[in-house]
Amino acid sequence: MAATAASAPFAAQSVAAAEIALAAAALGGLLMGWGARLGFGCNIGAFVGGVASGSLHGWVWFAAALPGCMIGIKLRRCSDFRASRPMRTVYAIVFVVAFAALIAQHLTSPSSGRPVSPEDFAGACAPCGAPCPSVQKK
Amino acid sequence: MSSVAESLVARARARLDWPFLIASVLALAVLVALVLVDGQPAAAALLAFGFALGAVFLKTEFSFTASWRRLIVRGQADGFLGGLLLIAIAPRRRSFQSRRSSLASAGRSLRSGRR
Amino acid sequence: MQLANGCGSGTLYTVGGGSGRMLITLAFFIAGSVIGSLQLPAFLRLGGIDPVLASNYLGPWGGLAATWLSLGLAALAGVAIAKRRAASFAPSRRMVLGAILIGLLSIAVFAAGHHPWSVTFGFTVWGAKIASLLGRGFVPGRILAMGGPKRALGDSILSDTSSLTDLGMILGAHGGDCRQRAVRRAIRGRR
Repeated sequence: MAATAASAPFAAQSVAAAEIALAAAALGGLLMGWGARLGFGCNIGAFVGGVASGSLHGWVWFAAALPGCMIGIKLRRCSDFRASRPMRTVYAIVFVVAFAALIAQHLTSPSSGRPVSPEDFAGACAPCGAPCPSVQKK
Repeated sequence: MSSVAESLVARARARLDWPFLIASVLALAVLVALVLVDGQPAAAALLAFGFALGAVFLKTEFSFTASWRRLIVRGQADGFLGGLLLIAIAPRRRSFQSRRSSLASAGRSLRSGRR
Repeated sequence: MQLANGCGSGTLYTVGGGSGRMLITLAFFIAGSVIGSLQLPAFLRLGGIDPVLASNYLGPWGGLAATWLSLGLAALAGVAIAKRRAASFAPSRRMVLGAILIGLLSIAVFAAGHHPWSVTFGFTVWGAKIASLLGRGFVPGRILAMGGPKRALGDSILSDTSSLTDLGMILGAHGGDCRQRAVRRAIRGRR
């Protein structure tokens, strides 16, 4: 809600603000991707999945994410710009190309059966298939 | 007055962006068809449930990010409590250790079942 | 999450809803998760403890009770914080509905996939596939060379549960946005 309100007067967006917004988006995404892999998930995978399963790591994730969020909020610019026409075109192109690539990839790959995830395999101790620390030490 | 009436008419007429909705459903149908042809109804179910999740998230504007932010900045706990409700309903995995032995054989058969 | 204005699920449904900016977030999310997967073995070598599951110590019902107890305590803490800062803590009806529906759907995802719903591993799969496509010298790294992830890398993008739900989410948000789009288009068309 606040973001919508904050973005209302952005009729004439300065270039610098737009670039900052994009840089923030990129940096945020990069950090999330990196952190999600090391932390065995994001809100859904680690927090929801972990706490629901009664696993301690869910709350550990939460405790770690809390200060991270505080820092992120301090750094965050409340800029959210409306996509310009070129951006919308880029978006449409990306979607179509990605969909085509997806289908091509599917049709050219082997498929071993029912959909799985690395954690279904022996030795997996996390959704990404990482081994348990006790096993690793061997 | 006429511009207000015009905007109301426009809103009423533009109830749904049909091309968009149809395109999304068609794309889903293509993917579902591809996995069903492979004989994987579970994959089709996952796609469908994902579709429903995406729609629900968007319609209800359920945002973890905003929930965190409201809690930290203003002490507003509504989103946080909503997240806890979600966790209360969400299913749990039994155990990591015990799965390994039972799924080792499943994993082997999965790998050997390659086309 | 705060810089990007969305977490894993947030990124997916915002991209589906048409945000170009979130597309950039998603691209970097995918890249970051591949980098993370390459570094994960090093981090794991730092040591750690095995998963601590309440049900391992208390049995299945005890585990459930422990979970609910932790949720209850967290809820009390949340309400206490809200009261101290004179803020609201009652979720809106829309939020409660969303939480219930998403919770039920996560049960459905679990039933179909036989393990809990995961959003971020799908990104690692996509990223690893793109990386192996682009860079012939892409070394999968120890994590991706393990049985499960290796299969995820080589097989179809539609054979990983997380990848499937993520794709579904983007399309669902795309479709779900149809009403707002129509309104926005009507407003734009009038100018």
